[in-house]
Amino acid sequence: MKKNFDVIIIGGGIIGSAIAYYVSKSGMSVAVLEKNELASGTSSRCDGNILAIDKDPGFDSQMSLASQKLVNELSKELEHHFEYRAPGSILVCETEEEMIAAEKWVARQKEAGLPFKMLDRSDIRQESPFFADDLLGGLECETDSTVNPYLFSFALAEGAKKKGANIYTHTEVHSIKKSTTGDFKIETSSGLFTAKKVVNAAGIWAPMIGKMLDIPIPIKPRKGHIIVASRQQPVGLRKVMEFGYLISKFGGQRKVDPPTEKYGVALVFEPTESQNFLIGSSREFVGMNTTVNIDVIKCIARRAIRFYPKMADMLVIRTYAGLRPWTNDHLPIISHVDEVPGFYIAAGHEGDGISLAAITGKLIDELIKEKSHTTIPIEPLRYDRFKVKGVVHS
Amino acid sequence: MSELVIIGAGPAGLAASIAARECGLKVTLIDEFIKPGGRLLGQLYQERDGTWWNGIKETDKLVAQAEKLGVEITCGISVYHLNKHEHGWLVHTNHGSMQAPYVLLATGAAEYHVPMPGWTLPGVMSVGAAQVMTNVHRVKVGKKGMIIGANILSFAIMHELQLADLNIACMVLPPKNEISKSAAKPMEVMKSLLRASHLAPSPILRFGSRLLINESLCKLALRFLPKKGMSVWGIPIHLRKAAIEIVGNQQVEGVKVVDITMDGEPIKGTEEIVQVDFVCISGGLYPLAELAAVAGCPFHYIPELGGHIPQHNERMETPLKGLYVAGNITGIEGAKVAIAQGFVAGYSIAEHTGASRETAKRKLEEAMKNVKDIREKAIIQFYPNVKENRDKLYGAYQCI
Repeated sequence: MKKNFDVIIIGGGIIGSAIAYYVSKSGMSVAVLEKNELASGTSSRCDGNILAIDKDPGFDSQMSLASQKLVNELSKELEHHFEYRAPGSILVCETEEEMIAAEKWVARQKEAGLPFKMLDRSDIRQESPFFADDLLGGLECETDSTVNPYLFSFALAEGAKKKGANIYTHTEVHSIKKSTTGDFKIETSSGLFTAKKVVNAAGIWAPMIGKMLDIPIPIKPRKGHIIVASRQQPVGLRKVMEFGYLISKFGGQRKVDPPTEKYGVALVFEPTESQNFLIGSSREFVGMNTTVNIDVIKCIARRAIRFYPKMADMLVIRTYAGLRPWTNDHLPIISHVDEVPGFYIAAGHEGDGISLAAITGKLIDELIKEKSHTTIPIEPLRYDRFKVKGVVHS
Repeated sequence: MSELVIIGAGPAGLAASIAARECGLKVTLIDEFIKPGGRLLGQLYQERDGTWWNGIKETDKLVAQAEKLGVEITCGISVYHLNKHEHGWLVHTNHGSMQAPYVLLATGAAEYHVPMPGWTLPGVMSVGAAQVMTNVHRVKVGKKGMIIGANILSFAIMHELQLADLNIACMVLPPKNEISKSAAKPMEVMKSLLRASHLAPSPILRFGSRLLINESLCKLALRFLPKKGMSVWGIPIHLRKAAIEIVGNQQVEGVKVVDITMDGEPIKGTEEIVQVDFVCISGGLYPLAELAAVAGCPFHYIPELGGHIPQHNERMETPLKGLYVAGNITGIEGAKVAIAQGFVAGYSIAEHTGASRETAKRKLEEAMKNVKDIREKAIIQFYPNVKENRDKLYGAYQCI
């Protein structure tokens, strides 16, 4: 069997699946090479948000908004249902200082044209009877949506297959070489593949793929833990985060106890479609380790109970940990690599892989087709931005 | 502080607590359920010699013995994590943490799920849930039911439900899908049932065990199965019919069944609705081994023992110092084997601590021999070739 394709995508997570969908929709021959099963890495160790609420106002949130629109279209376009809902999301504040910061945040987001609004104490009560009494208020983003990340990955991959994409699981890439004709030769555990263009969508493993072509990619794994809890009574219908999550995400100083600070713990509450719920979050740089650390889990649980005291009596189903592909400016790399013509990177989404998968797929398709105009500007996502800023490649 | 924490007060855990306590160890035995006994509580069947095996009575005997020896039994506690600590193991429970140099995992087994359309309707349950409700809680699960899935477990429990005066309309196979696999293929099911035919007082099955030793005869038998199914304890068993959907508005009202080919493919135009108000789905058992996994124990995948098995040897030791396993977590077998393994684990731990070393050593050897004897005589064998697969597993242990 000849394994020659227009485009080969390395990595069968949410990003690789989304790219496979959009590129095969454009009529190109596509193969996805995945070393394990589809969505077996970060895409099955995460939660399922398409959020603008936690994005820096401006480019970041505009990119999320564009992705939200695409996901809404995909929910109608893809054959498989992926538990898509768009109930909005909220951030809650525990101090006056956070309320003031939240007001500024809302003002900036509104200025950028996003549907944000402040919530007062009674709004918070309305949101869920399980909230702690002392919460001062919060803010809301109306368009935020939620999906089942696992089903979303599979729905995209199945959609791609229907459009002719070939998906090779248990196919690990060993080496990539550019031949004299300009085509790529990819040696894998399932034999040789050739392609005109190659997309590196390997998430936390993207640096290893980059290395095969001497392209350093500054992505580091940032570990996160999640608790899955069982529904007893409906706790809330929407995604909830504490305002401190933003501070934790962007590396600011919070007034919390040492373990909470050490593990980067901040409340994230996400109801699933069946009304079980996910509780996060933590952020640590501890290498490629996905072992659940019970101390982190306890810290996350304590944080959840601070915001939802009655949660102390609810049952936990399981816990898991995953690795976010982190970049130092919190933006993904969605870019052509000029040093190796025909080689693209679509990785480094940190905790926004589910949020930004659709727009990433769309952008890579546009880049491959060398369109003069892309859906959103791609300048901030370029690979060479790290060089421009003088960041040392790790 | 206890020297040994045993997680799971089923047959294996109870037996282990008795053995370890006999040798003078301080033992704490904990269980998630409100009372000790585990799945032993639900068991009721007739032995080959005509006497009855009553799980509740067997539990009472073991509990009385353990309590007399001074085992501390605490129920209603669930363990959510297990990790290594400088002084041994740290057992995290919903009632705080416990420390002990030795931990025995006797967590038993859980049932495989077989999803199918309509399976979330009230009135659909696993066959094990029906057993617990009937024999432990003494709750009648419905008026008339259907069992989906023909295996040793479902046959055994079907008989128990019948003894409790529940009306079972019939037993059929699950729909053919990626999860049900060979459980939806009449030929495979027939073969696996024949291995246990001494259990089923059905003329066909008994006849079968003697004659249907080869595949073509099996096929022939399946082809000429009576239209009304073959009868086991008076209940029709349809190996050529599969359930394809559970129907009902607010709760189970019936099951849509269809005739199937030898290979499990539905035959169009043969669909009919059987009216029932409860459904028991049976997909077999797998070892409940999450705690071994979080503790970092290596695993082997052995389908014939029920799935992923924590690495261990015949002394019930895992490669992790101080961590032991016994009962169904080591592979799916009957309660009698679990009890025998529990004794092995208890003496094995006692011998390792140095407590009553000579006694423990002697009793350990006896107990290990006893496991083999009981396995050979076992009336209920859930999977074929258990012995061969165990030998393979224990052989592999040496190589670590």
